[in-house]
Amino acid sequence: MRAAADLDIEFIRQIAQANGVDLAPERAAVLLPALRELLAVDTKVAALGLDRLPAVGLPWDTGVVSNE
Amino acid sequence: MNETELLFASIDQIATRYRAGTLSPVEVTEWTLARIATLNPTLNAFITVTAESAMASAREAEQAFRTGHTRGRLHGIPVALKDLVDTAGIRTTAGSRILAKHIPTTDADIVRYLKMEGAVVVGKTNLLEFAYGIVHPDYGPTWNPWDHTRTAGGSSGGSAAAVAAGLCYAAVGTDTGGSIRIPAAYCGVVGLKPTYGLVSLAGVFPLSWSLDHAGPLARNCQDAAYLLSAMRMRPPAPLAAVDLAGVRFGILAEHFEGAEMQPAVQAAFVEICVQLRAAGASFRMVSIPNLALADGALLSVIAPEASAIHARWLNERPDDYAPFTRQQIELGFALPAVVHVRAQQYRRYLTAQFLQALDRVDVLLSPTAPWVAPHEDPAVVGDEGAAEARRTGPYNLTGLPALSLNCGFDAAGLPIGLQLAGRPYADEQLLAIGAAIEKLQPALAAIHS
Repeated sequence: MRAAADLDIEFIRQIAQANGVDLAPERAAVLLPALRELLAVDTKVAALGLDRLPAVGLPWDTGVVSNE
Repeated sequence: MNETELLFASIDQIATRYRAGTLSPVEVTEWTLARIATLNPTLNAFITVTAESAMASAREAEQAFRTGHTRGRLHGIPVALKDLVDTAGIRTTAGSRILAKHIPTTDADIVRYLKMEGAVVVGKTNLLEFAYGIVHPDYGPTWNPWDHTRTAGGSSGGSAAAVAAGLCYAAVGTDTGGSIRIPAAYCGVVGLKPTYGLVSLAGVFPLSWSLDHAGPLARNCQDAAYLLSAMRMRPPAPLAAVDLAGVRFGILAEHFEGAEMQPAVQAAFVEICVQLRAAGASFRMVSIPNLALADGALLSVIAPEASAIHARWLNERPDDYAPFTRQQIELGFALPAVVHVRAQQYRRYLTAQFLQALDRVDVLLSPTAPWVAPHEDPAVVGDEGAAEARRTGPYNLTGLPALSLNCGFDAAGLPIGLQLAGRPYADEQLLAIGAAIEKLQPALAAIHS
């Protein structure tokens, strides 16, 4: 996936379009700072190595309680 | 008690008078509606006032009390509903132009349950557009009863202001990142975000299925407990008495600190901790690893879910959204799916960290919000919005119950909120501990009444 620093307006428009929404360039530009921030957080979350932790169900019903 | 004092009385005080025949639901509902008519033009807490149906419910309750067919503690008690909770035959706008003429054909589950308990619904309260964006200009902001130049908070600001101003005894709110607890803190009332899944959301307009909760706002913890029970179709019952000397509190280090924290908020928090310690409670500092990622993870869950909900309207009626709501909805369409999935995984990781902390303490304590009520609600997306929800959002991610109650005022007389959080399904325990804390502070209780 593209890193936060590499994110540009055209890429934002492409993702939005793939999700069914046409964004004008100026509207995509407004989203850029927030998206960069969210992708930067995502990079840190990815680094936690949560690969097999479930993404569904009650938050406390994980079967995984390790700090590792 | 005179009329105004009765409008600020506890539900127990009113219910006792109903049963003794010294007060009638019709009188109380008439006074409530008159007070709404007087104060709502200033506060803008209600989008719709349901005077006619409220009076019909009150007359039914009065007849029931006369004939001995009484129901629970909420029988004949005026309550309000956030205007994204479906009410059959009564418009439910979600604070939006898009649903301005929407009249549901059925009640939400929680409305059915409240009616079964005999509660008198006096109206639908104002909110941020779809509980997400900002105030839609068609409705305008809800003003804070403590200072009419400041917001009542978002998104359940109408419910919090209505409770604080004596326009109802309790109200239903919803909370996806702090939308019950932040307005409760700003308006000096009690607000509970229950354990995830405890209260039915059928018939409640969604913002983010993973994080949405419905819960009570009231002027004290016992009243909030009564409303919570009714919202779960359980008979409202008195809270158990709690000896604070046996309670182990953990101060969440990351939420006690922060550049955004106003000194008055920190001082009020320290003061209540001193009082709790004097009452015999024990304390320890608690730290949660990687809690700083919660701000971003919260938005990475909310944004795509909200966007999926609004996809059709965004394409067909984009100009009917307030500009910033539209922008936030657009944001979710530009987020890669894997970011949402990883944020969902982080929720489980974060919950495990919180549960480990809660192995060592009974309750986690923090200020609810880092500041007192501002003049405007900050947008969800952005530094201010993230800072405002920093102490509340983690409990939406983890699903743990979290309660806000007043713990003091700043020099200008604006309320300050204290947040208590506990293990899954410790909702009543939190409310009971909250009730014990209220008893520590008779001066605050006097101000509220």
